[in-house]
Amino acid sequence: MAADEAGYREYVIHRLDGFRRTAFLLCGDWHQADDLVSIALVKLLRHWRRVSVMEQPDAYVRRVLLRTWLDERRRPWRRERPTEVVPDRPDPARADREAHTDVMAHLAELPPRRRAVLVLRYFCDLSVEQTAAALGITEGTVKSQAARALDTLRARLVDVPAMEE
Amino acid sequence: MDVVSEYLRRATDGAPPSRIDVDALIAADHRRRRFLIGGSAVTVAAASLAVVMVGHAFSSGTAPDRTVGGPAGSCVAPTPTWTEAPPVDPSKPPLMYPMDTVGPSPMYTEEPAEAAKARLGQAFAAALRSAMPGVPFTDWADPSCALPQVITFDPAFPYESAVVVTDVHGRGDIVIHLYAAAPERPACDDCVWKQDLPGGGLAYVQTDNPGRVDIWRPDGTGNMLLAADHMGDPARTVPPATREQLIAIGSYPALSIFPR
Repeated sequence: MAADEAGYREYVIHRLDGFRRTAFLLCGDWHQADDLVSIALVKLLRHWRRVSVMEQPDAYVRRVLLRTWLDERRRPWRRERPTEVVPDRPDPARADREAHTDVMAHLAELPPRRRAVLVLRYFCDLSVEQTAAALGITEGTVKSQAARALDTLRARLVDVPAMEE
Repeated sequence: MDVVSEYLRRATDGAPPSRIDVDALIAADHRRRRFLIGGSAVTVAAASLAVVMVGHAFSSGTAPDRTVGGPAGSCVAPTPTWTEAPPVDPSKPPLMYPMDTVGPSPMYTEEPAEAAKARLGQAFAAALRSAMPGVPFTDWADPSCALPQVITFDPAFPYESAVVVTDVHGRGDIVIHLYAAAPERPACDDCVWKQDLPGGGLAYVQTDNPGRVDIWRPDGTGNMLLAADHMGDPARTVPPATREQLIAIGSYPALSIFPR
């Protein structure tokens, strides 16, 4: 078990930063991101012996992260609350200048799975096939969700190109 | 899509220092494993406490009332607010209850922890009385207390409780963890055993531990139960509860972290 733990510790220390950033892009909050990653790492530890011999342990952690995040969003206290006034849309010219700081706000406008597709495809650099496997959806759905996500971003961030099929 | 990738990477710049302590996660898992290893121990400290208290109780002639589980002494909890289910007839399996199918309520976070612990202790006692009629039990750590004491454990397993039951085979432990489960019914791809429960619930086993059952309830509660010999008692040759009895306990309607 000591050897297992040493392996686990080494793996986590090397991957922790990437997992935190992925979780942050999913949930938009660093504290919640740390919570999500903690839950994923606890599950990883419990299954480390099995996961450590997998070809891609990262895929397991990402899948747990995604599932945990999606589960958390379904909790009543996590649900979005309706507001009487719709927030102003950003001015496209201004959005260009503030694109980097506003990208999280734009991500927040995306439905959860579409947001997850975007993060997995363009931050984690997963293929369509890998993204589909991580989310348990078809490759066609990944493509369509990615295209819609990019459409949304393009409307906000002027230099986002159209998706190439 | 390098532009999008670049946007996403820059969005994560300026990350605050991590609050995640890998060694603390490992230490917490060690504690959990110690708790889960059969009935041999919850923790060394808790075991020592139990031994001391058992010794004290019997040496002072104040052995706990083992005739039936229920409120006693200083560990009395408020009267249950639900109607207790009648005892099940063990000769008429399956021992299980239909469960609520309504989704989780905000009670999980809104209910004060002390109130939840009192409520769940009562529910656990009622479930034990119903599923194992006539089998006396006491709190695991406090044998003078006939009401199971619920303690909080960690965020992944918010509530846990354990009792010592006494039957013709000797003493045994029944442990329950209650936690917020995933809303979806488990796929159970790697289960070694599973059984559908009324109301859409699922009882399943993922380990080779014959005394463990996990219950997924449609209301969002996950109940994990263990039945084991009491602190490694070699005299005990059969588990203190059958799988059916564990299912009956875990599916008891009131034993939910999302009360109606």
